[in-house]
Amino acid sequence: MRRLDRPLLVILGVMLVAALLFISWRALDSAERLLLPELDRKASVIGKSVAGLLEEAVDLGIPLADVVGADTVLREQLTASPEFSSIEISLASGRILAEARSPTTKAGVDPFRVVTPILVQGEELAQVSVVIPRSLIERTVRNIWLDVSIVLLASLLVTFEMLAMVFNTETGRALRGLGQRLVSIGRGDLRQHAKIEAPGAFGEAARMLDQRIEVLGARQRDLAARAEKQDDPGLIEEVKNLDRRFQISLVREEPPPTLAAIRAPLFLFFLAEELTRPFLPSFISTLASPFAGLSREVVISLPIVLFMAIVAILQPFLNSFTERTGRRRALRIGIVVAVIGFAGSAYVGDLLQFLIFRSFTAVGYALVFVSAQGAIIDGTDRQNRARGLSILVAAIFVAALCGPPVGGILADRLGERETFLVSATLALMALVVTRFAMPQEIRRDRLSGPSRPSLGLILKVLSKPALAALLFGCAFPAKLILAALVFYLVPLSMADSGFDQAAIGRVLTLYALAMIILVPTVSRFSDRMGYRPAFVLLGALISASAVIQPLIWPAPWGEAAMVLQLGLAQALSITPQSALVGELGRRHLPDVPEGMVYGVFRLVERSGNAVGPALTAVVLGAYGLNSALVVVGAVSALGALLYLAAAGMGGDKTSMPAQRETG
Amino acid sequence: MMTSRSIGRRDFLAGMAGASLLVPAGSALGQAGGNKGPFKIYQMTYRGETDVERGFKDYLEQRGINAEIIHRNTERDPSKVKEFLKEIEEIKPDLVYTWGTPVTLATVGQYDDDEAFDLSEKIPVVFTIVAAPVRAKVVPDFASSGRNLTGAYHVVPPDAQLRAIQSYRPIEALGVLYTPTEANSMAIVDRLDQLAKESDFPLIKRSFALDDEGKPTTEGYEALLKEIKDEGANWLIYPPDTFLGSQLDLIRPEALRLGLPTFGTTEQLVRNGECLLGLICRYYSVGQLTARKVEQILVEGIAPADIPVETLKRFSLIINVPVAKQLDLYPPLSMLNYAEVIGS
Amino acid sequence: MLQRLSLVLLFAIAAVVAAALALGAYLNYGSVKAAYLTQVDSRLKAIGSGIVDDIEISISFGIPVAGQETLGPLLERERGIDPTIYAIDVLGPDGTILHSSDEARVGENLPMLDDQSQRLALPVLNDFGGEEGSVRIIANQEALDANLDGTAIEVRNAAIYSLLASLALAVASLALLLSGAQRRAQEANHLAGADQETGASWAFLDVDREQAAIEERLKALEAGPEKEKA
Repeated sequence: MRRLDRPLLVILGVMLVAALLFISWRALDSAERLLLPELDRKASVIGKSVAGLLEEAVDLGIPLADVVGADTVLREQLTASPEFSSIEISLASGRILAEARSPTTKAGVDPFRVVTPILVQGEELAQVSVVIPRSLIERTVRNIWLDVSIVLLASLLVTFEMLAMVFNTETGRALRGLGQRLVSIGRGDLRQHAKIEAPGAFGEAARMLDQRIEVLGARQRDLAARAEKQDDPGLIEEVKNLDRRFQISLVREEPPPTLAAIRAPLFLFFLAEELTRPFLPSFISTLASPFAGLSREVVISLPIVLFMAIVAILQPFLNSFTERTGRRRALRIGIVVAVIGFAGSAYVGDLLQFLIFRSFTAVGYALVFVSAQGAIIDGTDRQNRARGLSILVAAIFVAALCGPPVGGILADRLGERETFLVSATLALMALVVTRFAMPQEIRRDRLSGPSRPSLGLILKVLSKPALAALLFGCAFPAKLILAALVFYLVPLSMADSGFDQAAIGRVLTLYALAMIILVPTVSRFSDRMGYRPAFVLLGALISASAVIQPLIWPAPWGEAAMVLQLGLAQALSITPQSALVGELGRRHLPDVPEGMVYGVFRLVERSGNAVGPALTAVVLGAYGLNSALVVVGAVSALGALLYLAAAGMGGDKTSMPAQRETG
Repeated sequence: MMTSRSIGRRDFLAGMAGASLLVPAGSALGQAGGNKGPFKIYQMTYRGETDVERGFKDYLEQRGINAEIIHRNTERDPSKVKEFLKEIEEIKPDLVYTWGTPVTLATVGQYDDDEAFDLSEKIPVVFTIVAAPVRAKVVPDFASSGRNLTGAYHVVPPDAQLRAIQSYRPIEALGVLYTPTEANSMAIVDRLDQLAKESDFPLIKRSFALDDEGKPTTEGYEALLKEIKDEGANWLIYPPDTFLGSQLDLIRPEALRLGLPTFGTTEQLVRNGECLLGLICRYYSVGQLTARKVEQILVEGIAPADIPVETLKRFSLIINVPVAKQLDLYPPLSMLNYAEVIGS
Repeated sequence: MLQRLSLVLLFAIAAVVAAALALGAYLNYGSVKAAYLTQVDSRLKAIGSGIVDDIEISISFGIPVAGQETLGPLLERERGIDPTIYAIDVLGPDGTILHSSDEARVGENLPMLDDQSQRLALPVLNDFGGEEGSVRIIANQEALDANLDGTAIEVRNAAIYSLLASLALAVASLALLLSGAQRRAQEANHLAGADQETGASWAFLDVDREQAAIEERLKALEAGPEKEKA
């Protein structure tokens, strides 16, 4: 897209911020008119209550000056009404008899003061003043600014995705392609671009540029061949120099533009699922009735475990199905199945029904994932496969970034069942978008993509100690701890301690945030540096130690720190780990196709997703939160130690740069 | 009627009782039907009608339970129970009501005393104002009597008592005056001993002298009070002690003269002893609670052995302001929120 | 074609902006509403629990709820202070109104009406925890709504104005974008044009020139051996 849509996005962002600020300002203004009289009334109820007590004391013959414990009464009142900054009792002489100040609410400049006289037989002996800080009104609206900025961020991200989609229509692609060409030519980058077929002025212009580049390229090739033939080192060097400067004979490594179009529907679809993250556990707990012999915690984990298990088990089997059905059709079928699941979940009456509808969503989710992956693998070759798969990863991460906080807000404001309907709607939108944003089926003769790993193959992969240690010591615990904490424990424990869904969503989003910021940097760094095992090990150990955070800090900061640390840790290990799998596969199992090794890797990973919540639920139900945290952390730490031991024994000093595999 | 306030009396006093406000299956069940009488209830009291009987009668009336109450007074002589038992044989009431430990024991005997007469073998018995039903062996434990018997008691748990005292003025040393021959009183003193150790303040115990027949006397009570004062007590607690209760006219002025703030554990002690402070079970409410048990037995058909022996869930805090003025020891302001104040 | 693209773009932007502003406006309004109702409820609770305290003390003195004759005037007084209160009732255990701020309600077992909302119900308990009745405060829903209406209208108008402004801005920036695109197409034609007088990309020109130079030398080399042969 480059220079074309970025200004649009900036303008849109500024515009949204301004509009939301304006709305908040108006809300604040009218809130003042609404809340001030109300606060005044409440302050006078408190004032009257304190005054009445003092009047009674005087009536009983207790002199005002001898009243004991007035401070305590004021403090209690202030604790019950924390919106006021202070309450004081002052005698007619001006002497202050007692006062209490809120430790948290400051009066600030020019506060309001509600004064109630203490009258005994018509004579004003003293007065009670309740002080209302001005900042109070602002604070009531400011409290939601966190939510509003989440809405802002999410709408910008959604806008970004929408722009991406629009720029993937034919004209859009032409426009974008043209922009790209102009920028790179301006920089002196004369690599060849992928073909643009769009008709119209922009396509025409782009093709003209391509033609010009093509001509130069052809001439370059011709010159190179002739120089070679003449065997003149000086000339050969000169041709190469020219090539280096302008990269004339190279082809740009980028996914075919048609593939990028798959991102919009995927984003919408994964967003639909991510919306449910923050409130899923607490929603299940409203349905859960005690099952035979199972603790509440285990019952709550059931739908989450079932979902993960279905995705893990189905994935290896679905590839050949989507290939036979056609990726595009399979993806659309997957979306429809998931929509049934989302919509049904909104109306379930008990846990069993919920389990059924979540299974629908799980099947749909697995189908969409596998079809998208298949479509990308079909549409790419070895050179641009990693870039292609990064489309899928990006869609998942951006969805994971804005899904939970927005889902939390929606669940708080609309309700949990209604949010399932929003999810269903989003998934339906994804379905509509696939109509014009999905590439037509690409049929290939050869069996593309990883096919189902057989049991024998799985055993073969796992019989290599280095691979087994990596898969069970690192990959499995990594997904286990992720699913245990982010999908299950954090939302459940935060909901149990009374946090609203929006707050839970904000905490969960930290994982994706850390990943999005760090992963690209770490990938580049680890590709360059090598030392992949070190990254993997470091990531595992930092993940494991994240569970300490909630034991140190009070909620929600402990949970937030834990999720953030987990995100940072996994950002360190995720790319090196993936690359390491390919590397070890090539070294130890040269005769097994790389795709198969990755298939086994994904299978092991995803079973971690299913085991995580199950294990946590059992420990949580039997021994409580702290034990659950410790056990999950311990599994991760033990895995890392296992890997360390195996790597140490095998003298596995892998450090050669390898091709990065994503997805 | 007091003015409305925002700090609930309820919140505080329920906390004192250390019990949550569990709502026993009250109202709805009572209204739901069942046999509402007429019933004959034979009522034996120790010293005539009190607020307990008033609360008892009011409750039955409010619930629409048609009961004929035959009242008999033992006039502080439990041996009269024998005569009444004969009358019970003739009248054949639906239920017998006993007031106080002596009357109750004369009617049903101790649960482990096989020799003793036990009326509950024939007719359900509900007792009230038995200070320590377990210690007096009326029942083996509070959950169930194991007999055709249940009841209500009227003692505020001593830890709640101490909390009430502490929130008026912290205890430096606590004095207690009691009769060594009274089981009710001894039970409380033992418990106070234990609590004093836990809260780390001295408990200064003084007991009335006994005469040759082993009966308590007031001999030397001034010296006892003075010793309590001299050993540093800043509070004097009156346990539920019958002899002490009968000698308040002597003790009251002496305590006041020494400037000792007093704390009463029963309504009678607080009133007659002009205590500065008291946390008590209101007799009227105990009567209502007793009537609730009767309702459960007669109307709802629950076996008495299945009905726990209980005290109130909420107690009344009483402050005597004129005494506070004399001692120059005014109550903390927040207490006026939930206390009943005895004014001038 | 370009028009179609801009329409799609405009539609997408409008949808996102409208959704964002609607949600933002709702969050603002919702927070003001919640703050307002919290204030109302906490004030009503102070009033209600004061009444409950009075009733419970009287119960333990031996006056049953139904017999507490001073309650009527007390309830009426409390109601009079606060215009948002529709009625304060003291109910018996069976739901019959025993006392009320409105004499006419006494003796009835009234259901909630549409324009009323029960904001508070506190149980009245006797000393052994038995329920003797309850105190409920019914708010005047119309009065509450009327108070909130101001904010609702204010926020809605703000949202509409900012949506319109945003859309206008979106149209303007799209126009800019598209004219930029047109310019770019021209620029492309211009760059691609090998006609050097009209000017082309420096990169093209550089490469052209250097390739030409190399070619010259190659030609010379290629011609060399032939000459030798000849």
